[in-house]
Amino acid sequence: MILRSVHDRTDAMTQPSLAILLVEDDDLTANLVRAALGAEGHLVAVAGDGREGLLRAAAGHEGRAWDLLIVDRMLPGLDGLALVRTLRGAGLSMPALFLTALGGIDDRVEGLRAGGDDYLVKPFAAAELAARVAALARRGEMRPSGPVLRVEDLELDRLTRAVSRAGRRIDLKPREYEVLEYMMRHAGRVVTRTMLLEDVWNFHFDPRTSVVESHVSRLRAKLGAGAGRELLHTVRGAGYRIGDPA
Amino acid sequence: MTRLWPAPGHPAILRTSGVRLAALGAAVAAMGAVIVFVVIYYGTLGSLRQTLDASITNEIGEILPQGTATPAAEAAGAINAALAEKPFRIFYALSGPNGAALAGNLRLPLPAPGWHTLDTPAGGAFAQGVMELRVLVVRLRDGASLLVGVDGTMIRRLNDLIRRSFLIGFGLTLSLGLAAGIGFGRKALARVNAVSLASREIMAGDLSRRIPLAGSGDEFDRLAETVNAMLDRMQHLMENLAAVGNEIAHDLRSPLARLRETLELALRDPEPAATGTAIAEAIAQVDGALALCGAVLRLAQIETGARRASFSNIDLTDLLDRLVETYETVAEEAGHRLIAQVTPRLAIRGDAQLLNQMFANLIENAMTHAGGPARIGLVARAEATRVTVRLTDDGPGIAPDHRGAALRRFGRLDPARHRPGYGLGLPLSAAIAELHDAVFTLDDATQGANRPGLAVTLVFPASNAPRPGQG
Repeated sequence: MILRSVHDRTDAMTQPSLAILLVEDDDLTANLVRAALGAEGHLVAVAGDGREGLLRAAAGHEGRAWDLLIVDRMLPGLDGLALVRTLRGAGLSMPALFLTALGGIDDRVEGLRAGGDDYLVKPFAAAELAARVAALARRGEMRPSGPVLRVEDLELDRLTRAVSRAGRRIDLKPREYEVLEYMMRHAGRVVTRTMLLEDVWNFHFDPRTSVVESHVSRLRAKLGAGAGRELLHTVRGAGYRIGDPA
Repeated sequence: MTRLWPAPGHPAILRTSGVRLAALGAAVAAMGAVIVFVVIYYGTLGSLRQTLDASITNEIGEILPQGTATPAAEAAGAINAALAEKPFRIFYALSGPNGAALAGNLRLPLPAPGWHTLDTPAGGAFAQGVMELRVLVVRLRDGASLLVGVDGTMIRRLNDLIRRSFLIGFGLTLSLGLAAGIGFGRKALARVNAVSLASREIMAGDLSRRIPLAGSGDEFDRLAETVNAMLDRMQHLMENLAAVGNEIAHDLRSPLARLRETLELALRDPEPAATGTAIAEAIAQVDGALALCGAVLRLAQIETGARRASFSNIDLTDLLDRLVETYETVAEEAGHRLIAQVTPRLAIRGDAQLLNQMFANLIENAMTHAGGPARIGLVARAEATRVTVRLTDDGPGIAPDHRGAALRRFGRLDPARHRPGYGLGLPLSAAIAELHDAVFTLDDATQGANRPGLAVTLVFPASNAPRPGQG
């Protein structure tokens, strides 16, 4: 079943749409994923079990490999780990995102070991999924960037860990630096709170205090101290983004 | 006799290992006794018989100076000469080729040539007190037969004595062994029955029942102690399980009730904008319920201990420094103070993700339960083979008799449950600590103060693996 989204996004969503294969046996989840990613302009095809998923993943889409796989961990026929492991064994390297059940604390490690690139715990917010997909797709096309990351007049040197805006040096604490570097590596894309918690802090739980918010607001204050345009945007209901939408 | 198993024909006592072992022991002892008997019997009797036989051979040599060629008349003379000296319990008989007695002090038909042991004849003793004769019969060349015998009563007496003492010894060994076996068996059976009775009562639902100890510290006591420890753990888990059922239902009820109200209000409100708000609100309420489920599942997974397989060497100093820096920022925003003192190069074995969660949890607990700006202290240092981390706050603390409840799942200190929080935080931290073989204790931060504050102390075993020197 292939559904091409006719949802044409005009609001600065210029990224090319992705061909995504979703391997998921639960119709409700499948529909949610399709709606969430369709709204971003992606094409989502659904395979209802592991065997079909493997066949279609290997066959590709319209003569090309899929841009991205989204695979449920628990599938009838062939489980998600085995599916991705088999594909990797066959030399297929497209990014794969695992959907895992609530509370499975070892799922992430197992998924990464099997050749997955990211994981998302069900139930998830549509915005979170969209952000993860964008980040993963980007990873595939990541051009070898030099040591210096730039967003408008903001510069970050990954070798010296020096940050400056319009030539003015900005002093950041280590965690603030890591947050900024992460966001600049994903410049123009939405970075969710969960992505920051997992990738910057190695927090795989939901803290009860405003860990991310405190750091982002500090960072924003430091970046904006010398006036200039606001670079660090809050995307309501989704997360944060540095620079204009890509 | 109490029977452990219904066994047709065999009382349970005979099937106990004590009785079996004792029977085996008795059998081995009895076999030893038989061997000893055989050795003594043949050794003693054999040498005695040899002595007798030697004296017989000697005597025959004197009576037959020319061996079997000695004429019968000469032998008769020698016998009479020997008899004249009144020999003590030596018997002679010489008969002619026709069987007629020629000389001697013994009248009986001579047996065939060779060695013989003659029993008391039916008519009475050979002589006073002589019950048995050891004899050698020799046929002379002239057809006469000579018998020389000595008193063999000694042999018979000794024979009887040895046999009797053997039977008594053998019987004693066997009966003592069996008696001891039955005694041990009964004792063991009684202990096993006690265990079995206690187990049945536990199975019937009385989880607080324990196996009684005899106090002797023997293997049964040690087994009972182990089983009791297992029962303690099971009771703890079962209580947890029962409590969890209650508490989950209780904690899920409020978000679900609110969800229902939200949805019902939305149903009645025809405004499309209100519907959108209601749905967003409903999602938030469901998220709250899901977060609770997630925490319960996570705790359950940690308690299985499976994560230990992926332990690695952790630079605890680095991990704590990162957390401190993170929470300093959070604390400043909220008006708290976090003062940390972390010794460089602390190393433990563990799971970085879970340790992160545990320490973050404890720091956040201190912030949320202080009831105002908190002063939080974190001290980490190495002590010989241990690494101690102590986290203190200046909040209300937890009264000693509430600390057990605080560590139980859902054990909440606020009976009205108005404040969210302790719910799973401390039990989760305690479970993570236990996974790391760390001792987790709750204490007053300041003894005797009005607001003593809570001190959480974690004592980890230090990792002894060599570690790259990084800070």
